[in-house]
Amino acid sequence: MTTRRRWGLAAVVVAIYAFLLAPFVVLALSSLSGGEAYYISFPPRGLSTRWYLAIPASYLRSFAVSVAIGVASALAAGLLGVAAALGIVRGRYRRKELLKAFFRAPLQIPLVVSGVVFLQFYYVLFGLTGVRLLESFTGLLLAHVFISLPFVVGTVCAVLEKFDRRLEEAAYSLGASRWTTFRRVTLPVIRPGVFAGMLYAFIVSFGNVPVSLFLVGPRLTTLPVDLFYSMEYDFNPSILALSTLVVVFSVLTILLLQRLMGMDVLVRAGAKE
Amino acid sequence: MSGVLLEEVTKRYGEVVGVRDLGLEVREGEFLTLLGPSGCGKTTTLRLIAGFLHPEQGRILVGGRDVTALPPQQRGIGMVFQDYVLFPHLTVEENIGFGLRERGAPRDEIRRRVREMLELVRLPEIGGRLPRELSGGQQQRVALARAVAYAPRLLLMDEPLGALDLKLREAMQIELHRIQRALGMTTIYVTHDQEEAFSLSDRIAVLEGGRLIQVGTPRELYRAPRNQFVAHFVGKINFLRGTVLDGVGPVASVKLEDGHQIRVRAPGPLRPGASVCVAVRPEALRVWAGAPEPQPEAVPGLNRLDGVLERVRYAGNFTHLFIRITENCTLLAEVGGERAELHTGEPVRAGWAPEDTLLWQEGDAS
Ligand SMILES: Nc1ncnc2c1ncn2[C@@H]1O[C@H](COP(=O)(O)OP(=O)(O)O)[C@@H](O)[C@H]1O
Ligand SMILES: [Mg+2]
Repeated sequence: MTTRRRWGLAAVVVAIYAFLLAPFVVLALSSLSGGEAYYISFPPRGLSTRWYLAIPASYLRSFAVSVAIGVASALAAGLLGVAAALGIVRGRYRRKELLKAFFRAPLQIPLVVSGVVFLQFYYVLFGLTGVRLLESFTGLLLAHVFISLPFVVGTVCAVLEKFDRRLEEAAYSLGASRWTTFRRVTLPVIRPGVFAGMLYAFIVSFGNVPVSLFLVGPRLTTLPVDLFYSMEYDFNPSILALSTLVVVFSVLTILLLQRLMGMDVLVRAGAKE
Repeated sequence: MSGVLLEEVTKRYGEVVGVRDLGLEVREGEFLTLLGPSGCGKTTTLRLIAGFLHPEQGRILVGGRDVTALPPQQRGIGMVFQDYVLFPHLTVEENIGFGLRERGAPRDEIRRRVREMLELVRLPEIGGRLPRELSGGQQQRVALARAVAYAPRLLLMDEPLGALDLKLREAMQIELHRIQRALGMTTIYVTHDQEEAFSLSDRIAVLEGGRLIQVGTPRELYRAPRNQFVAHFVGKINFLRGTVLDGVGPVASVKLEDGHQIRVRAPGPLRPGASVCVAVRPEALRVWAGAPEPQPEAVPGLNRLDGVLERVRYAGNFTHLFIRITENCTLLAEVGGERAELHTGEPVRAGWAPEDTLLWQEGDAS
């Protein structure tokens, strides 16, 4: 590649990043505004952390709920997703594509519709059995697993399709049982894909508004829904501060996971060993 | 250690035949090679023995025990795959120790044995590395060490050197031979490379289209190939077609398609008029310049064909001569050293002894 082309490419990349990051920069700078104004001021007037100190402690509760739901969804979707992907990739049936499409379906249904459907479903269920899922952790979790499962199934299917089954045969011939082989060979090799999928699942769950909106209530709510209502009815710049913290939290989570679990392994797994 | 017996084993993949009615005996401690072109069923045979596939018909015995219905875990067989298939997330030591660990060997024992194996394959320094940090040749040795570490009864190798370049492959052949002899393990080896098969094997089984064609020592296969396929696959050979003139007695006379008459060592009585295929190895041919001068008569009883030297290929320790006899018949002769008196485009005479001729009746597979 010529130098000029390379510079051109670099410029395009920078422009795209600038476009993607601009909203966050506005958000972060506004949250640091020193003014008294109860509206978004950009560019900020003076810098201060006063809005950060003014974040109401009540958000802590919804933050905790969001983290708990996110982690639980990631774990549940991870477990179900690996099982589903194994069935899809390893099963012997002719209509595999159909099965794949089935597991992708939650992505194709608008989230708001999914939210309404879960709401209706929980109503009906309550009417029929007396089991109350609305405004409950379990109810929220089920809906979040529903919307995040396709991400795990997708990534795990991708790594399983590339997986060399002879690794398992090698383990069998060395005396390992099927379960041991799965635990000591298959799972470690596909782990990057599983983690990537679970990370997606966490992020999808953690940031979700449209589905949660229908299923939460005053007794149990998630941070994004809490923020959403505050923006609507009760704006103050502390919300900007909190939003900024949420973004920073998400980025740190991803970096930490990358550190701990070696997400770069995924890139390497893609390249042929 | 133990022998292997395949009894009329058949395995199909839907419509496609993997192997058919395969009967084969591998003796204890023997190095037996399955040789044949790609798609002839070599891998299928190995995978049946390893237990990754199950036959529709027939039985498989290892060490006298019927293992046909046993899963691979219970067969006690070590397997080396073509492109190594090492566990990518485990170190070399962990790879080699895998089988021992699964069999519940104590830690010290595993460590000692892994050391031993690394010494055996001459890689004592690399125990802590991951497979991707090794060269192809090193990975192959580790794969071998992994397969034999827990001292299986039987070692299977599927084209283990196929992915290596020529020089390394030759070096590894010597290594493999040394290691197999050191362990004394019954070994079934797969290759499509005849030279490799010859340099390693006690005996070779030639497969074609899922069937066993012939089993024998390299010498037997070379000297007495059962059919044209084996003759052609094992070394170079010249084929000639003709009809029997006189088939009584140990030496038959055959009239070639171009009218020449030759004498051939007959495997048994032949019906006059029967179509036959005769063959002669390139190194059995002797070549003289300046035919049709009658020098070959100096050696009585020699078959001879006259032709034109079409091409000379000098290969250092030998020379290949391509001799055009007729429009659609060219003989390949392999002669020692350099033959400066032979020139392309000039007439030559090729001669060979009747005992050096092979003969098969046409339309007769065996
Ligand atoms: N998994 C499979 N599905 C369908 N056909 C197969 C499969 N494996 C092998 N075959 C077919 O079986 C025949 C023998 O294959 P194989 O044992 O792999 O041959 P080789 O190892 O000698 O090249 C070939 O015709 C091949 O196409
Ligand atoms: Mg093969």
